[in-house]
Amino acid sequence: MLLPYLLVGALLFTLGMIGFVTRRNLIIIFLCTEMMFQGILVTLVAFGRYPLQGDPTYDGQVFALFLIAVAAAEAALGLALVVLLYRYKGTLDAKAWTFLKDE
Amino acid sequence: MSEVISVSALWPEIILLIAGCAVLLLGQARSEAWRRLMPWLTLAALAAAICIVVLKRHFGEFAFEEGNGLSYGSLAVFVRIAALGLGIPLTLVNWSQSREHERGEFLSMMLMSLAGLLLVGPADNLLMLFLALELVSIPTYIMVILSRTNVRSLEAGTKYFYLGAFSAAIMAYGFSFLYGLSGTASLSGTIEAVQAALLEPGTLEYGLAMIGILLSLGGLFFKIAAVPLHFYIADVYQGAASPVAGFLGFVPKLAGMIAIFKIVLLTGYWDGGHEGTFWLLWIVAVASMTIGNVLALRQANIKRMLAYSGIAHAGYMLVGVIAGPLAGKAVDSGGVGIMGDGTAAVLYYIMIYGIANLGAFAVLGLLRVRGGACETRRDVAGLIRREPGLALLLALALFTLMGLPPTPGFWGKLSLFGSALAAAQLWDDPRLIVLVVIAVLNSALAAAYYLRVIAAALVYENKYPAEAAPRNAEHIGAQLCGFLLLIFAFYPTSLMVQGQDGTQELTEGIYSVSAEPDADGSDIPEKVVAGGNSGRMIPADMDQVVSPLSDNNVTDQ
Repeated sequence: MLLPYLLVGALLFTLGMIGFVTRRNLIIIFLCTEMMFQGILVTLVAFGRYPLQGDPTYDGQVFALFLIAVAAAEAALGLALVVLLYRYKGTLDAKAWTFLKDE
Repeated sequence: MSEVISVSALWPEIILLIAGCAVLLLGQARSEAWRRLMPWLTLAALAAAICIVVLKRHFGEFAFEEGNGLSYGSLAVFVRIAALGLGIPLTLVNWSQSREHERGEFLSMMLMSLAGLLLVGPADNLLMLFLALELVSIPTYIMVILSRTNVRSLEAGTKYFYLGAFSAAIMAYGFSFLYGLSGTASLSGTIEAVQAALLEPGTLEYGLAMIGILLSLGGLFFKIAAVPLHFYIADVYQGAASPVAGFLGFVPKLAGMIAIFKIVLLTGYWDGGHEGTFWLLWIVAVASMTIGNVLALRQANIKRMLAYSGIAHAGYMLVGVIAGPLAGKAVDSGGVGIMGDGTAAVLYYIMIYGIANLGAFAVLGLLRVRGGACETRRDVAGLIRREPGLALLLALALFTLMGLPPTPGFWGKLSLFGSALAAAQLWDDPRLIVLVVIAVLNSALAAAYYLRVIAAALVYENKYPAEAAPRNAEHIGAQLCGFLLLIFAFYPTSLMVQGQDGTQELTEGIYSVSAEPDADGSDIPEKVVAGGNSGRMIPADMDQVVSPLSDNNVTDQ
C-alpha cells in the first residue's frame, strides 16, 4: 500500500519543481513550492502509516504538521514580498527583475 | 529519545529568542532614545548567552543533556561558542544597518537566525534539524530585504527567498525518505537503517536511502552555496548591504556544514567509505572550486567577486568533509592531530573564512564613494592614502582568503588539504590526491583576483578615493575582525583545538555503530566498502607506514 502514496507524493513534488523552473509569475512560482511541500507531506504521512519496518509511529505525522507550519511562515513572507514587488513595478513577471547580473 | 530536556540546558537559545522578541517590539518605540538602545540590547543578549555557555563549561555542568530531539554533545559546544563569539563582531558591523525605524526588526531577525544556528548544533532529529535550518534561513531573507532602501536589495531578497524555499523543499523531501527508511525521525535511530540499506544495492531500501541522501545533501548545498545551487549567491551579495553579506558568509554556511556532517555521518561514509557519497562530494567539491574561481576571475565588482569566491571556499571545505574525521588514523593511531581530522579542519576553516569575509565586507560597508556604496575595484583604488587602516585591514582579510602563508587562511588550507592527503594514504585512494592537486591549483588561481583588489587598494592611485563613514561601532567591528585574524595567524592552535574538541562527537558516533575495535585497540577494524564494487579496503599493515605528515603536524608547533 505504500508505493501508490509515494508515487502521488513524487508526482506532486516533481510537478511543483517543473512549475518552479518554467513559470514566470511570482505568485504561481510560490504556489509551486507549496505544491512541492504538499508532495512531501503525502510522503511523510504515508511512511508514518505504512512503515517499512516495525510498527506505525507518529513521527511522520508530527513532521508533517511542523512542515505545514514552516510552509505557512514562508507563505506569509512570500506574500508580503509579492505585495512589495508589485508596488515597485506594477508587474509580477519574474523577467522584470534583472538589476543584478554579471557585467 | 523520549525524555524531556531540561530548560536549563537551553538558556543561551532562550535568551536569544527572548531578546529577539524584545528588540522587535521595543524597536517600534516612539522615542528615538529607546530605539537607539536596540543594538546595545542585542549585544547584551549575546554577551549574557556567552557568559552562560562559558560558566557552564567552566563548572563542568555541561553534561551531555539530551531529549526532545536535541542532544548537547561536543559539536553543539563548538557551534555555541563560534556563533555567539562571532555574533559580537556581526552585531557591531551591522550596528546602524537598515533604516532607523526598521533597525529593531533587523536586529531581531539577526538574533533569531543566530538562535537557529545554536539549535543546529545539538539537533539529533531530522525534524529538529529541519526546523533549526529554517530558523537560520527565513530571518536571513528578511535581513537581505531590510538591509538597504533601494530596489536592488528587494530583488536580491526575492531571489534568495524563492531559491531558499525551493532548496528547503528539496531538503525536506530527502529527510522524508530518510525517516521512511527507519520509521523514526531521530538521527541516532536512522543511522543503522540507512547504513544497512546502503549495503544492499538493488533493493527498494537502497534506492530510498540513495535518494534521501542525495536530496538532503542537495538542499544543504544551497546553504553553503556549493555548486548545483550556487547561482543565487552573487546577486544576493551584491544586492544586500555589505555587512549583511558578511553575515550570509558565516551563519548559513556554518549551519549547512554542521548539517552536512550529520547527514554524511548517516551514510557511514567516513567509516568504510561509501562510493555513492564519495563521488557526490568529490564532484561537488571539484565543481564548486573550479566554477567559483573561474566566475570570480571575471568580476570587477568586489562584492560579486567575494560571492563567487565563497563558492570556491565551500569547495575547499568539502575537501575536509571528504577526508573525514578519521583521516589521520593510519598516520598516528594515538592522538589524531588536526592534519588527520578533516572535519576539525572544516570547522577551523569556516571560522577563519567567516571572520575574513566579514572583515572584507565590513570595510566595503564603511566606505562611501561620492555618496554611493563602494563596490568595484576602481572604488577602492588609492585607499591606502585616504584610509590606511582600512586598506591594510582589507588586504589582511583578502590575504587570509587567498591563503598566504603567515595568515590563518594558510593554516586552514594546510589542514584541509593535509587531512585529504592523510585520507588518501589511509584508504590508498589516488582520487583523493587528484582532489588535493585540483584544490591547490585552484588556490593559486584564486590569488589572481584577490591580488588585483589588494593592488588596487594599496598601490594604485585615484583622484577621488573612497571615504570612510564616521561610524564608531562599525569601525570597532572591522578592527575586531582584523585583530582576530592576527591572533589566529600566530596562535592557530587555540582555534584548531576547539575544532578538534567539536568533532569528537562525530568519531564517537562512528565507533558506536561500526564494528568493535580489535582487542589490542591499535588496529583499524577492516571494513569492506558499503555499496559499489570497488572494494576499498583498509590495509591491515597501515600502521607500519610512516607518513611525512606526522612530522610537521600543526598542532605540535
